[in-house]
Amino acid sequence: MLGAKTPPAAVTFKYGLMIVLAVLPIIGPQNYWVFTLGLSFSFAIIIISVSFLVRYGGEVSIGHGVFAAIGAYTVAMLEKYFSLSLFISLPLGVIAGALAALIVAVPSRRISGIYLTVVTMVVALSLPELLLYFTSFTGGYEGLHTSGSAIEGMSAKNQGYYFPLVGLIFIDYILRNFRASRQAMSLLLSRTSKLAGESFGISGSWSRISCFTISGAIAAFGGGLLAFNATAISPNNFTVWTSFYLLVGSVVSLYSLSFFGGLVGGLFIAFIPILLAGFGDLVLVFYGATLLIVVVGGNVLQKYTKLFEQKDYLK
Amino acid sequence: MTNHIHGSVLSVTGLKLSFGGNTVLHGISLDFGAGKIIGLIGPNGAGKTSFFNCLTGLYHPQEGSICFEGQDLTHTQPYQRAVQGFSRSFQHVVLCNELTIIENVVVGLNLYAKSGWLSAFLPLSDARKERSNNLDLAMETLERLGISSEANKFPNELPPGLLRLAEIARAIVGSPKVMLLDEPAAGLNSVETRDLSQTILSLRSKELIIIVVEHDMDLVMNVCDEIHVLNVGSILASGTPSEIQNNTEVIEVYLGGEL
Repeated sequence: MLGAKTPPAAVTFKYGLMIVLAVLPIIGPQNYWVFTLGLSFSFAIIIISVSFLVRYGGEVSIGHGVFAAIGAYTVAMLEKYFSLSLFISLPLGVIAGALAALIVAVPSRRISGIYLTVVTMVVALSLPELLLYFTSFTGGYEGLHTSGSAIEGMSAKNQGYYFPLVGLIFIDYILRNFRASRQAMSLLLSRTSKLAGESFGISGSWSRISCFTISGAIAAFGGGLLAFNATAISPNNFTVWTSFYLLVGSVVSLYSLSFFGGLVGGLFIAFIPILLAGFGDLVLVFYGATLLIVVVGGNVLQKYTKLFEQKDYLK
Repeated sequence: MTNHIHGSVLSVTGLKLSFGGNTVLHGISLDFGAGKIIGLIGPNGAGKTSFFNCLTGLYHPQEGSICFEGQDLTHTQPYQRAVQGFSRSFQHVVLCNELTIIENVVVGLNLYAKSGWLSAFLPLSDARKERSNNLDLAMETLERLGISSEANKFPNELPPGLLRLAEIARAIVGSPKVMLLDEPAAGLNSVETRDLSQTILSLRSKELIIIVVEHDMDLVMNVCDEIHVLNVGSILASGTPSEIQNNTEVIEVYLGGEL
């Protein structure tokens, strides 16, 4: 047996959780909270994209809302102007997100740390203005609407819940495979030491561009599902604050790339603002306190479980 | 100058390197032939590390050339030299803590892997087969170095001596033509250094050039066929270990009469 194994209890918990979430809309109430849970699945995917950049690239982005927005607007615009189904528009959104990430990554491939973070922030700051500049296509302040339906005969509510859930499971699956790939190992060595990577034929530029592009593609995937689930998107959904909150979600998930870890981050940024809404002016104070409790608690929890890890590779 | 050596030759000619107005290498010319273990020694500030970094591609000299198998590599990057068959270890062990020892070794085969991006995300049969083959090769290399029992451990679970061997395993798994060892005994105790000497000796082959930069004189004298002594950016002496040990200039400027 090669590689570390996730403890059986953690595996059981993960699949048990998946089953519970899969049957929840059937056996539980179909209300606002279930809808919000669907949103948290989409957020979880976008958060995983931020964590991917941290884990494999060693870099922090506060601009991933942009790539999510590209996925979201691609899905919404292709439906509005070409009546394309999510099954076609979502892959196209992923390609668009990957291309956008590539465009950012190529010129910034030689910068790192705080400088790269600032670049991503600038990209995030410029996005709402761009969306408003092309109002005739993007719907301006009002944004765009999606039907929230890709399968006839299935309720839009259920589709808005199940599509993001299946998407999150899919991302967990492909990233689990990815962890055992030669590309993943190369990225991890390059992140540890650029010189060590280069000494084994792994170009630092290749590492940066690859990592950023994959990350952008995952974010666009999550963004496309978010547009489908929310049925309405606007520039307000993708401000620089969105990118900050996505980073917060990534921190809360302890940069996890797994289903469970991503979900923790997604639940945090989808539910906590709603739950704290009653605190008025003190919302941010309680938000910060909650963040602290979750991060510290998560670190302690991580010592006792492997739920956040993706280590059942190389079977 | 290279004609008297058979097999692959790494030729360094007139290498000159400066940082600002400070010249650290003064036109060094050396040939490194396959099948030999060659040591580079010298006191602090002699230019060993600068010369070594020119060989690895980290530094690019202002004058001179580095040629291997008929190709001028003087201004190529480290990853391009890796493609030409260069491999190396580091003074401070550089292994990825998120990868197991065997996975760290598998990275040394990355250059020869064919699997594409699609198979990185999906369990396609070709990639699985390639991965399995690479793991087998890595395990064979770990067995050769006597550390196969540590294959599934993570670097932060192992002592420095074993980490050094793991790093050497990564360097040799891809059957390189030139292997550069940067102070391999750094941080090792005497027992680990002795084991390391045996390991380096076991790596000798007709196709491989091994260049060792090292401060540990016992290791250098034990494993090297040839030794070049650098002093203030120039070659002070070249010869076999016994010749170097008896060279009065070397003893005077570097070894303080202790050889």
